[in-house]
Formats: sequence, structure tokens, C-alpha cells
Amino acid sequence: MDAAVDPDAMLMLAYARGDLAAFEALYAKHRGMLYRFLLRSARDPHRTDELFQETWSRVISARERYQPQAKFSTWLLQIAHNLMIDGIRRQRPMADGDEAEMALANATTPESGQPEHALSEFERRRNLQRAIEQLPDEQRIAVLLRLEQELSLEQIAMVTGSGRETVKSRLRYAMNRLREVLSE
Amino acid sequence: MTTPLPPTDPPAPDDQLLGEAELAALYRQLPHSEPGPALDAAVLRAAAQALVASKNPLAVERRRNPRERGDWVRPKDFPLRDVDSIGVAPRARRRRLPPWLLALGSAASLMLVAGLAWHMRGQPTAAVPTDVAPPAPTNAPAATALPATPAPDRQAGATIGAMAAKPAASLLLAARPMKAESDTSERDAAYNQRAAAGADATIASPSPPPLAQTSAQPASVPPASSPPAEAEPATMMPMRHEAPSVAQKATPEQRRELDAIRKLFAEHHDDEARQRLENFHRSYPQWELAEDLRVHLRKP
Repeated sequence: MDAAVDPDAMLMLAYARGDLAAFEALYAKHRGMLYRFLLRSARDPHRTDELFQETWSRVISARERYQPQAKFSTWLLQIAHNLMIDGIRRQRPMADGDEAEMALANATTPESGQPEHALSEFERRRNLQRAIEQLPDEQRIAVLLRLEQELSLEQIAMVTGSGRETVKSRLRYAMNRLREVLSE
Repeated sequence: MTTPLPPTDPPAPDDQLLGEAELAALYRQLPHSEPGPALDAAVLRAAAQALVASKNPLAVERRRNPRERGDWVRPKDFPLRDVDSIGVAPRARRRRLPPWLLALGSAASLMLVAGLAWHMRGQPTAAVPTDVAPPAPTNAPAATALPATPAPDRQAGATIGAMAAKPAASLLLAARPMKAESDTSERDAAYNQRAAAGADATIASPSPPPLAQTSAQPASVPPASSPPAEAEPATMMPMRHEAPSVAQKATPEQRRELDAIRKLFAEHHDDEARQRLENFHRSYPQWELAEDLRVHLRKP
């Protein structure tokens, strides 16, 4: 990946040279997607806050040795993914599904017009969310990177450190499971 | 990575999975959670501090890198450029001494301590007797030739040492041989009392003699007349009875009194002689009587 085509990489390089406004722009652009990815992957709001802050701390610490060999978002998600996997390997207790669901429900959601339609859409979103939470870790992360970040198979493979076909297989299994849940 | 795509580009058509579009549409309707303001402030503050710290590397505390130990790097008081100079100089100063030098120093210190202890240990036993009873030949006739010590000198010494009379007495007692205490316990008690009284009494009454007055009487006592307990070699009991007998210097008055007592015993005026002897002993309890007089003093 050439850094010239990635404006985020340019911002990161500017920050490494001492431009704090560049970092603020970079942070404003990626804060939401990173937070959601972490929240839906870790399923623990407290742990999500820790991971979020730790991810940005790593970005800040690595600013001087940052080389734009990949997209900034890929690199950022890679850091977050590694931190999350470390946490999973340490077998930290995660919040149960209700707590994560409550945290997700507190956020604003787009509303539809009819109450019945809204209830139906709410149930579908809730079912989708529960189905995503019940996926195995590798499949859930791949689905989130795909649906939330809209990353390609190669980018997901780069973030997760897996092969492209492995990622494709994980996505296929995960989406089949999600469709089954939604069709019930 | 053949074709770089912007982050917002949708996946390539060949990557599309079955039912992915429907799932993606539904997923976009999920709540859009975002970090709280406190979290945003913390991250932005950390980013600003990092820039300050990069200008002054160790001025702001920061989180450690993944390969560093611990969690935080805290600022230090000295600049980074001084680290080498600080690290080198103490290392040169902390050069270890050779082991043999340490062993030699330790041995010398031990010898010094032992010598000092030996010297301090020998001081009281050696100094006090020589002060009280100067070394005198055990030869009895020589003791008779010793002039009487001038009483004013001893009294002056007692006056000066009025405060130290009791410690001096205890030192004297400590210096005395153990065996002499067996038969002179009464004398020791009186001696202690006497010494504690200090020099005031000594000065006030002309009769009490100083401690080291010389008695001419032991000179007249032949060695054969000594009891078996006192017939031990002088090397073992150097200060026991010979030394006091030589060291005691009698005043003319005392000498006259002792001569008179002897004369009374010789004339068989035993009662009067014994009474005067007891009076003498009462007046001079520290006085070590000669054996010929002591036998009369003993009580059955």
C-alpha cells in the first residue's frame, strides 16, 4: 500500500512530525468504527474502553517508527485485534450478553415509522446482535471487520494474520449461521 | 496487494458472499456506539503529551512500549544526555578491590581490636595495685628500710580523690586475690566502709592511716611462722600477705602501739594486750596484722 493514496497515513506522518491537529483529525475519523469493533468483539464495555485507549496509546507510541506499508485503518484494526486476542488468551471474564446488549442499546438507533415495523426491526437487530455474539471468536471478528469496516478478504487476512481462504471460510460459516438465526 | 482501495470502497464483487448484502444492511441499523467524552479527552491528552515528551524525552510519563517492561515510563530528573556520564563514573568508582586486600584489611582490623581489648583488659589489674602498693621486694628486711610514706602526700591524694574514693576501693577489691578474701571478709567490709567514707574522715582524724602505709611488723615475722595457707609461692599470690606487709607504712604512733601490744603479750598481760589490739584493729580495720598478733585477735 502506497502511503500517497492513503490520506490517513499522511495524517499519521504529520502527527509524527509534531502536528497534533493531524492526530485529532485521524482520531475523529476512526474513533467510532474502532470503538464499535471493539465493543462487539469484546462484548464488555469496560474492557472495550481499556482496549480502545490502549490501541490509541500504541498508535501514539509508534508514531515515530510508523511506516505506511498498509492502510492506516488496517494497521489500527490490527493493533486492536492483537490486543483483544491477548485479552482472550488471558481468559479475562467477559461481560455477559445482557450487559453488552444494554450498552449497545443505549446508543441511538435509527427509527422507522410504524411501531410494528420498529418492533420487528428491533427484534431482527437484536437477533443479529445475539447471533454475532454467539459466533466463535475468529468468525465474529471476521464478520465484524467485514460488515463494520467493509474490509476486503485480503485486509481481513492482514488484520487477523490469517490466510485469505481461511478468512473466506470463516466468513462463509459465520454468515450462514447469521442467516439461519434471522430466518428462525 | 495488487489494487489499493480506499477504506470506504465496498468489497470486490468476487469477494461477495451469499446473503452478505442483506446482513450488511441489517448490521448498519445496529446502534452506533461511540466512545465517551472522557475517553476522547484521555486519548487526545495522551497524544499531546507524547508530542511534548518527544521534545523533552523523559519529561512526561508515558505508557511503555510492548517490548518494554512494566506499564509506565516515568520522567527522571536528569536529562538523557547525562545518562552515560552518570553511568560510567560510578562504575569506575565502584571498581572492586582485590580479595587479598580485603582479607589483609580484615585481619589487621581484627588484630587491632584484639590488641586493644587485651590492653584495656590488663589495665585495671595492673594499675591499681601499683598505685596502692608499689612493687616491693618480698625480702622482708628490705621492707624495713623503706621510709615511711609521708602522710600528707597520701592525705592530699585522698582529698583529691574524695569523689573517687569508692570506685578506687572497689578497684582495689577487684584487684585483690580471691584467696585473701576467704579469711578477711570482715576486714573487707570494714575496708569498703572506710574507703566509702572518703578522705574527709582521713583528714579530720589524724589517726586513720592511708591505705598503703607500710608496716614494719611483717619484716620481723619470719617466713616460717606463716600459716600453711600463706606459704604458697609468691608467683601465684604476689600481693597476698607479703605485699601488704611490706607496703603498709606505719606511722611512728602505730609502730609504737604495735610494739606496746607485743610487749604486753610478752609480759603476759594478755587481756590488756588483746584489748589494745582489738582497739587498734577497730581503728585500722584495713591494717593487715602480723600473724603473731592476728592469732590473738582471732576469736574461737
